[in-house]
Amino acid sequence: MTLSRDHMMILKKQNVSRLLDELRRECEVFYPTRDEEGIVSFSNVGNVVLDYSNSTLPPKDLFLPQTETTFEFEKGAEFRLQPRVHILKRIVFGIRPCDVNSLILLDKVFSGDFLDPYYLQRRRNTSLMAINCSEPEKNCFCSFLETGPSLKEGADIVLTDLGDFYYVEALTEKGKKLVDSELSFFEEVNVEKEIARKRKVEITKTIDLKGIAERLEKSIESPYWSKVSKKCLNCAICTYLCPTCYCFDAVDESLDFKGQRIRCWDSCMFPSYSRMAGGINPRATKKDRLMQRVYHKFKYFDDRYGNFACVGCGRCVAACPVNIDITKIVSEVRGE
Amino acid sequence: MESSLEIENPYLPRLMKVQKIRVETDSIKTFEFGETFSHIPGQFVELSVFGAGEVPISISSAPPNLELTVNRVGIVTNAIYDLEVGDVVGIRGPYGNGRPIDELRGKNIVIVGGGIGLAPLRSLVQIILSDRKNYGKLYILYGARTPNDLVFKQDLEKWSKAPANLFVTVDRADEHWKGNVGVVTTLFPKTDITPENAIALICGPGIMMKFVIKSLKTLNFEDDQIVVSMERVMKCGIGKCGHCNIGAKYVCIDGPVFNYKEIANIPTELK
Repeated sequence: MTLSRDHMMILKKQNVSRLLDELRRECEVFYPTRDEEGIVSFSNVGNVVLDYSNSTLPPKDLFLPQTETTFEFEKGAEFRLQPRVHILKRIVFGIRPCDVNSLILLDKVFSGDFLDPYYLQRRRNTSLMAINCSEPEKNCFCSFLETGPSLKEGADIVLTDLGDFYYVEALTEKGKKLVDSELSFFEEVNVEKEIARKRKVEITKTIDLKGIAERLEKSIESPYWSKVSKKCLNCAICTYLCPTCYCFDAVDESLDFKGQRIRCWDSCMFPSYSRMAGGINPRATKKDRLMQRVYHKFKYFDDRYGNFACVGCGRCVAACPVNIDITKIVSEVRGE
Repeated sequence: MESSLEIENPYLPRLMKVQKIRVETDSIKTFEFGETFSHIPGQFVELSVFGAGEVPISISSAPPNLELTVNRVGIVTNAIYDLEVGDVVGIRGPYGNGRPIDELRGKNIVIVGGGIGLAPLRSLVQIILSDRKNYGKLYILYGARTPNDLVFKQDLEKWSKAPANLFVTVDRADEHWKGNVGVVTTLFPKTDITPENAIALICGPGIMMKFVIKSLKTLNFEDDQIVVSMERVMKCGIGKCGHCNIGAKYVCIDGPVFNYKEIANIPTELK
C-alpha cells in the first residue's frame, strides 16, 4: 500500500455492517459469518464477522457450487433442454488474498478453448472486496506462493486492517465505482504515517519449492509415496477445503419425463473417481491417489497453466485427520 | 444490473434420434444416427440418455456417418443398450484429437484392436480402404475373448476380401470356430510386419495394449511409431472436470489418441 499520500480513504469497522446492508439493496452480498461451532464461511445471511484469520471454508462454492443444475430436460412429446445459468449480480466481502488468487487459477481452468458459462457468468457478475491478512494462521504459507498475505491485483477493492478501520484501495474501475456509489460509508482522512504503516505480517510455516518439478519427475517410482500415503484415510477433506480444487462429477436426476443434469464436486482422493465402468481403475491405490494430488498441484497444473495449483491457505494441512502435510511432502520429496 | 455472457454452452447436448440399431454381440450394439457428422477418426462424443447420464463413446464410423458402438458395462451404457429406434439422445462433440490421417499416408499401417477397442479403429480402416492407393501395406490384427465377442462381423468379412492383411483370433474358441486361438499378440509371428516405414495403431484394454506394445518393440518398433487410444473416466469431455488426466495430459482434449512416446514414462497408465 502506498503511504506517501497523506490523504487516504478509510472504512470504519463499525460501518461495515451498515455498508453491507446498503449494498444488499442492489445485489446479493456474501460475507464471512461464524456458526455456533465456530465454522467461518461466506453467507448472505447472519452477522458479519471481522475477527477471522481465514474462513474455514473457502468461498469457491460461490463460483463453483458444491452442487448445481446445469440444465433441465423434459422428455414429453416435444423434447426440451433448458440451461440454468446464474446471472444475479453479487458482491463478496472479506475474501482473503489466497482465495482471490485461487479464483485466478480457476479462471484458467474454466476459460480456454471451451468456456464454462456457469463459472464464468458468476465470475463476471461478482465484485470482490478483499481484506489483506494481518493475522495469518499457523498453517498459512501463502508468501511462498506469492498469493498473500496482501493483494496487488485480482479483487476490485482491497482493504487493509489498521485497527478500528480499514485502509481502502480500489484496484479496478468496478471497485472505484462501488466506492463512489457508497461514498457516505467511506471517509477521506489524514492519517499519521506511523499509524498507517502496515503491520508486519508473520508467516511462520515454510515450503521448499526449489526444483519441485524435477524432484517430482524423479520421484515417480520412489518408495517415499507408499510411506507417506500409508496413513491417508481417503476422506477427501483436503480437496473439499482446497480453494483451487475444481474436479466435478455429473449425474442425472429424473422423475418420469422431467429431470435435470447436476454437477457436483468430486475428489481424486476417492477410489471411484477414476474407476471406469467395468471395474478397471488406473489409480487403484491410495498411494496413486495421494501422488495424483501432489503431482497435480505442483507439476501437472504448472505444466498446463504455468502456476502451482496451491495458494498456501493451509486448510488441507489444518484439517487432515491424520496430519498429512503437503508442505512437508513438497519440501522433502527427493526422488529416493 | 445483470449482465449475461453471450457464449455457447458446451454442456448442452444436441438432440438426435436413433435411426438404426445393429446387434454386435450379447452386450454390444452399434447405433446409427441419420445426421451428417464431421469428425476425425479416433474422436469421441459425449452421449446422453437423459435421466441415466452421459458417457464418452468413440465414433466407430468414418465421417459423414455417425455410428456409436457401445458395450453395456455401467448404468449409462445399459440405458444406451436399451434404446430403441426413434428414441432421442443427446450428443456433444466431436471431442478429442483423433488420429493423424495426413501422417499415415504412404505408410504401412498396423492396426491392432482388442474387443470393442476395434470401434475407434474401424473408422480409420474405412478411410484407408476408400483411399487404398495412398497407403502402403495394411495389417489388421483383431482379438476378442470368444467368437461371440467379435464386433463388426460384417466388416471383418468385407476386410478379409479387401486389399488388407486381416488376422483374427479369440482367447477361447467354441465348437464352430476354425480360426486362430490365443491372445492378439500370438498373431504377430503369423505376419510379415516390419517397422520400416510403419506405424502401429492400438486400441483395447490396458493390459492388452501393454503386451501389444511389448511385441511391437520386439519387432524393433520405436515408441514414436506406436499410437495408442486411451480410455478414462470423463465427466465433461472438454478439459474441465479433471477426471481423465494421464500425467499433465487430459485424455479428452490432448487425446484420446497418444503417441506412445508421450505417455511411455507414466508407469500406472497401461493397466
